[in-house]
Amino acid sequence: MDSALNLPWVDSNGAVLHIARALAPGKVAWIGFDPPREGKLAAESYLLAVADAASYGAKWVISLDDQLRADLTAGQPAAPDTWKKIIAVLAFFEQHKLAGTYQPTGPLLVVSNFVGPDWDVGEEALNLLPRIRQPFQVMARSRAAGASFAGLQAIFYVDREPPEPGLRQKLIAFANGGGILFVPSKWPNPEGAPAPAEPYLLFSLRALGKGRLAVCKHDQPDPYDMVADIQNIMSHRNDLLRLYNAPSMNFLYETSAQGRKEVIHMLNYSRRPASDGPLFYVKEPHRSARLVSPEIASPADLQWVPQEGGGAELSVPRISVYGAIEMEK
Amino acid sequence: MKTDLTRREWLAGAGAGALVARPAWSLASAAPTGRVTVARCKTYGPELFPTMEKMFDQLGGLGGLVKGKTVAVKVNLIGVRWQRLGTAKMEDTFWSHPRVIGATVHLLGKAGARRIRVVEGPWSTAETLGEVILSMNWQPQDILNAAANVEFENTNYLGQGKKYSRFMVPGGGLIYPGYDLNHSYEDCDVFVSLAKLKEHAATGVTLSMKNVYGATPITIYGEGAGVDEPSTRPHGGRGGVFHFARRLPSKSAPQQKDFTLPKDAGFRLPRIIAELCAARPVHLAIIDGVRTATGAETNYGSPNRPQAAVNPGVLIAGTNCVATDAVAMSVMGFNPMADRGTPPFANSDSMLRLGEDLGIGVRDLSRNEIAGPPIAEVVFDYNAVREKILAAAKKG
Repeated sequence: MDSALNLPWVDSNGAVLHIARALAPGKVAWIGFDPPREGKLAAESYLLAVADAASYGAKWVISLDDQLRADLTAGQPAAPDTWKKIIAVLAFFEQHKLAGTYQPTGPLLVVSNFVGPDWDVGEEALNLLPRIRQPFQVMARSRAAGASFAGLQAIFYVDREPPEPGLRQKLIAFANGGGILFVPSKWPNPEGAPAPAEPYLLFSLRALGKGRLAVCKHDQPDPYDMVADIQNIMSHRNDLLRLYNAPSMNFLYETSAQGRKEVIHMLNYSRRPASDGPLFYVKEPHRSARLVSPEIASPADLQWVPQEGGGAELSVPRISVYGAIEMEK
Repeated sequence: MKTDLTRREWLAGAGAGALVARPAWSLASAAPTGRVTVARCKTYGPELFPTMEKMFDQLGGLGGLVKGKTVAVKVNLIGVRWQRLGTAKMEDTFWSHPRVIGATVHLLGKAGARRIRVVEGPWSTAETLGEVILSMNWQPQDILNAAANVEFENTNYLGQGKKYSRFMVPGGGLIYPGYDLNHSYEDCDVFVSLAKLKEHAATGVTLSMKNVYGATPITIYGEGAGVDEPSTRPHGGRGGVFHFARRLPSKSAPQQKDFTLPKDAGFRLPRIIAELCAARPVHLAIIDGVRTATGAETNYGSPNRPQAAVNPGVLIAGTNCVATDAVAMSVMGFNPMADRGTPPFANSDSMLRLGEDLGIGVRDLSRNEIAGPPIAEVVFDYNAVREKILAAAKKG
C-alpha cells in the first residue's frame, strides 16, 4: 500500500508498453515474462497478464507456472479449465482489436527519449500517472518536433538534456499559446517571468505568454510528488475522467482516429471484484456507453447520470480482471 | 476531594503530574454549559438557508461573536476522496455539504465577520482546498463568493504561514502537552467546527469535537512526517502517530508525556481530541446531519458496522462543542453520558467525558440550554439502522 495515495501498489507492464508504443508506433510489442517459479497461480493471474498487455496493444508470450504445466501434462481436472480461460480471454481481445486503431489520449503529453537516467524518470512517471488517475499520452522526443500539440493542456518534457533548438522553440510556442510546459531543473535560461505559486510545489512557475513554464526545483525530485504537482498545476478543473471506488484498478483512456469513439480500458490488479463497482466521472458525456468484458456474456449498456456540477457519471458493474467502456459521441 | 479548582490551581496541579491517563480529579463541575439548537432540515434545498439563519438566531445571533473578527471554519473533507459509498457523493455521506459551508460563510459575513478562512487538512495532500473541492465537482466560487474576504487554506502543512503555531493543552494534557498547528488556527479570533453527523470506527462518533482532529498537520503528525523537523509536504495519514503510537511526531513538536500509556486508538484518540478542543477552543459548533452515512467513514471492513447513506434531515449547532456533540449523540439515538463499553463507545473512551474532565463543556443535556423541537422528535436511530441492515443481510 502506498501511504501517500492510500492505494495499493499494482504490478503492471503498462509504463513499459506505453514507451514501446511511443518508440515504435504502429508495431505490436511482444512482452515476455515468467510467472513465479514456486506456487500455483490462479486463473485470474493469467487473465490479468494477457489483459495488461492487450490493453496497451501488446501481446504476452504465454508462460505457465511449473505446477500448471505439470497438471496439464498429468491431465488434472482443473488445469484444462485454466487453459481454456486463457484461450477465451485471448479470443476476446482478438475480437476487440482496438489498440491498433485507437491511441491513448489525455490532456498531458509526456515527451522523452527514454534513454539512460531519463528512462528511470520517464518510466516511473508513466507508472504513477495512472495511479493518480491522470490520462496522458506518450511521445518519443525524436518525433515531437514534427508532431501537433493541438488539444493538449500540458507537456512534460522529461529529459535532462535540453531539447534541440527546433523542439525547444516549438515547446515554448506551445506554452506561449496557453499550455503548461513542465521541464526538469536542468532547463537552461528559463523563458518567461517568475509567477506566484503555492510554496509546497516542486516546480517554480514562470508566466509565458498565455501559458506557463514550470521548472522543477530539484535535480532528483520524488517521482510521486512530481506527478502529483503536475496534476495540481494542471488543476482538477480540467479533469476529463475521475475514477472512484476502484483502488486496485488502473485505466487507459484511448480515442479512435476520428475522435468519435473512445474507450476506457479497466484493469483490476487485485484480480477480484471490489465491494463496489468502479464509478467514472466523465466531463463530456457521450451519446452511448457500454461495457464489454470477457467476464460478461454480451455488452451491457451503461447509463449516464448527469451531475449538478456538470459532466456525468457512469456506474460500472463489478469486474474481477478486465472490462472496457466503449463510448460513442 | 476538591473539584472546584481555579484555573491557577488546576495548572499547578497538572504541572506536578496530577494529570496522566485520567485526571485524578475533574473540572467537570467547573466546565461551562452551552446553548444548542436543533432543527429539522430534510434537504440542502431552499429550506437550508432560513433554517440555519433561525438556528443562529436561537443561539443569540452571530453578530456578537464574529463582528469585525477573523473567523476560521474547519470543515470536514476527511477520508480518501476516491472511495465513495457506492454512488453516493462525499457531501451526502462523509463530508460537510458545500451548501452548508456556503450558508455558514454567508451568514458569518452577513453578521460582520471581517475575514473568513475555510480550513481543513484533507487526506495526505498539499493540494489547495480549491483543488480538493474541484476534484469532487464542487465549485470553489460558490464558497469563496458567499461573503467578502473568504479564503481557503489547506492546514496539512505550513501553507501560507512562516511557522507553525503552538497550542498548549490547559492543565498539561493527557497524552501530549501541546500541538503545533497551521497558523490559521492562531490567526482566527473565532473558531468554527463544521462537522458531519457520523459514527467512527475508533472513537464511536465523529462530530464537532472529532472534526478538530483533522486540524493537525500531516507534516508533523503524519506517517511521512519529518523526524526532527516537519516535512515540507504531507504524506500519509495520522494513524501511525495518533491512533497507534507507532512513531513519534516530528521532534520539533511537543512530545508524548508518558510512553507507558496504552497504544490502542480507543484510548488515545478520545484523549487527543479532547486535548485539541481544550487547546484550540471551538466557539461555534455546527453539525450537518441532513444527509450522512451510518457505519463510519472507515469501517475497516467490519461486517458488524455496515455503511449506508441515510437522510436524518437534521442540523445541530451550539456554542459549546461538548454540549453540541452531546445533543448530536442523542439525535443519533445514543446516550451522551455513555462511556467505554456502551455504544457508541464499545471500544473507546468517551471524548465527551474527557472533554468534560478538561473543563471544555458538559454533556448532561439537562444542564445545557437546548432550543428547537424536542430531541425525541428528530431522533434518527443509528443502532436501529444498523440492526435493519444486518437483519436484511442475514435474510440474504
